[in-house]
Amino acid sequence: MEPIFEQFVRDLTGGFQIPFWAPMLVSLGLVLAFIALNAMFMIWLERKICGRIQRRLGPMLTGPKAWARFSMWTGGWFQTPCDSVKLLLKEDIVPAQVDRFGFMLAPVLIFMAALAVYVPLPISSTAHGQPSPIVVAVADLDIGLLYVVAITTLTILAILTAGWASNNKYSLLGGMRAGVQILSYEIPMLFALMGPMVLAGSLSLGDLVLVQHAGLFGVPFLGWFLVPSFLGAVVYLICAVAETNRPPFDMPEAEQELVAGFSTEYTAMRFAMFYLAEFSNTFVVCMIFTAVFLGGWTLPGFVPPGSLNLGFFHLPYFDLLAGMAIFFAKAYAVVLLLMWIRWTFPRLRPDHLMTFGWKFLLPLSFLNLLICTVLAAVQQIYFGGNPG
Amino acid sequence: MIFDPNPVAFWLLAAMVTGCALAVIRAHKLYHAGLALVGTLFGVAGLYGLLQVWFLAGVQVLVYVGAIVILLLFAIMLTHHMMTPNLKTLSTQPWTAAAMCLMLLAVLLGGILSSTWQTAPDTTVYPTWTSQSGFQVAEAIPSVKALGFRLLDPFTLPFEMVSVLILVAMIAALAVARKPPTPEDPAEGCEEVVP
Amino acid sequence: MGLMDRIPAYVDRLPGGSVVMAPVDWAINEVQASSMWYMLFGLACCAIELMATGAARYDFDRLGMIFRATPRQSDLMIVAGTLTLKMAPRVKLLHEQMAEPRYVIAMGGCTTYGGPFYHDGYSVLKGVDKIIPVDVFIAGCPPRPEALLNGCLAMQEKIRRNKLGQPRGPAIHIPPTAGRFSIPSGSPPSERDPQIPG
Repeated sequence: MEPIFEQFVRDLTGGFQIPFWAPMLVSLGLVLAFIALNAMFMIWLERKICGRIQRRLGPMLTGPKAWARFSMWTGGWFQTPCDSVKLLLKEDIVPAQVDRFGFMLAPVLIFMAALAVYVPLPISSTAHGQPSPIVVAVADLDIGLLYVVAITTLTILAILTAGWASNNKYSLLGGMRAGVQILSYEIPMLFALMGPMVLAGSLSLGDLVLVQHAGLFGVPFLGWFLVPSFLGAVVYLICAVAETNRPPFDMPEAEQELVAGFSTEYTAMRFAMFYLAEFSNTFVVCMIFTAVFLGGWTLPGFVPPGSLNLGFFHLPYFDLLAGMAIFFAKAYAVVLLLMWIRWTFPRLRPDHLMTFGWKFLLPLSFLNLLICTVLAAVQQIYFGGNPG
Repeated sequence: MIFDPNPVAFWLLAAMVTGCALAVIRAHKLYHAGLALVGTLFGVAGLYGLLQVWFLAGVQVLVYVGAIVILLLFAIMLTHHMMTPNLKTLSTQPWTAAAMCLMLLAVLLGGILSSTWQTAPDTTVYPTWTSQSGFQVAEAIPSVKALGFRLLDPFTLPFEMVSVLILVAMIAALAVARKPPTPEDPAEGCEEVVP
Repeated sequence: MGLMDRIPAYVDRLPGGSVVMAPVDWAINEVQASSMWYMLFGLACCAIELMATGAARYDFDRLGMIFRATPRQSDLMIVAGTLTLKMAPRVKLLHEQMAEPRYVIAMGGCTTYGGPFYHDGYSVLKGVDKIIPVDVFIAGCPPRPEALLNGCLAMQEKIRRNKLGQPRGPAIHIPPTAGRFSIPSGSPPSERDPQIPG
């Protein structure tokens, strides 16, 4: 992020040196704005797709009504902004018997986790004004994948705290269910991610994407880790659904039995933070899936030029923009897949969930790790190492 | 002028670690103690990060915050009076405790003062926050790789022995926790519960 | 809404304060009317009609109405069905647990005046408005989904007439036959209504 931002400012102002804290503040602002806007769009999309699958229309009458006459996808565009503002304006209740400290801490904690997890996610790369192409991320950490998984565990902590501090039996049960579920599915998820790690020989998400672009066995079309580590991709996707508490793994919020799970006592703004974090996490797992299994911002055999010159119009940072477009297109394809899964499958029973996670997904992820190790060894011996 | 925030970060993290550790033993609710423990472990992870050992920091958060403290909190939730505020936090034997603490302090101080504090040879490369190199410590020390080579090259034997030791401990724990088999219970205490 | 009740009192005293408050009122009302999350609870046969209204053919979600299972997050309470005296304290409690601003729709004859149990029902509350303030009454036994949607549109109209810091207007009564509130069609008929054979 920093070198690109510096270069950008230098281009604009003619050699102005930015202070060292500016890139951090700018990244923070960008990520915050992205989380809010993206979550709003995703909620609207979710409701529309839910409507489509259930032969309904979804939100239609909020916003310009003339648009709604056109098709179901043009109606109700103002629905989620209205919902958000309404939640902001509602009364904020802190019930008398709750543990105030924990009750107030939990939404902040879950939002912190949702925010911090964006740091190592690479969305594009650019060669504009740089000696060599660099990865566009807030910071392409050396331990990116480990960092993401580690920060995700904070979510469990927040959910448990919310469940305990609400002093409500439904909240407590929901919180414990969520904790157990996320904890159990984290292990197959880690092992599923270990296959790509071994193939790339790196933990950095940027490196993972670059290795995929370089290709396996010298064949660029074999490059996406979806191919060599297919089992891992499937296991990761299932675990990702479970980690984000989305149906069919949404026992923590099963409304027939647990009212609204850990968020039962939360009102208005605090509830909005839980909701925002949930959708943000959903998008984050899609971004990780894109970066780890779908080749990130690259397409096989396609390298966009650093700047586009159309004669009458000169567009700098073209590779950055093209990479971002490719990345978000892929990520949204995964989002659509998750939404399809959500509105198609019925909810699992908790003991089935545990059996599925421990007895089926975990051995499968071990098998995937074995396959990936063999492939990595073949690559190492016959094709001369991996670039990672 | 290059502002070096490392000392500031160190003191902040040290204050966080110490403060949270104090809160762990003085909290009036068990759950608060657990949350404070998370703060302590996070502070320690931050200190690791300050020392550029990012892998260790990540593992610290993943293993301690993500697994061990969560299990602790589960255990706390299974206790009876988990919302009771009047937890007794002071020791009943203050003088013995103080003596033990002093002894521990003496041992630690001895270790600290006698150490030569070997530093990495290339510390001057990354006072990290200059606007040129940014936060790119990745090139300076490929910590994960170095760790991997270390573990699998000179330290293979200790590494494997530690894993065997942990395995033995796990099996022993299972053996201790298992219900003793009774004659009328043919499944020997490990039957599957069918809901 | 503690803060939202106090601000207009200060602003209105300033010269031109009402000019400032009008767009604010409009925005707040529009936002609240567009996002009425109703509470997931039903008491008797009206609840079946409530479910039918939420399902594919009538689709509450078109108005931006989704259900929340907990009173803490819902804005609208649709009292659907016969309210017995034994249930009445619970409904009052649920209403008190909802966060302000909260609205109530009394659906069907039972909740309006006791319904068929008016004369001989020893165990039925003769009207929900005896325990909680009601904004819209919908007649019918049970009301058809069209009538319920009508009631929700009337609720939206009532919210749009709100003014900050002033008491809410009187309750609206929806007659059994469709009145002036009608739902604009959303999109072409092929998209809109799934055709159910038979």
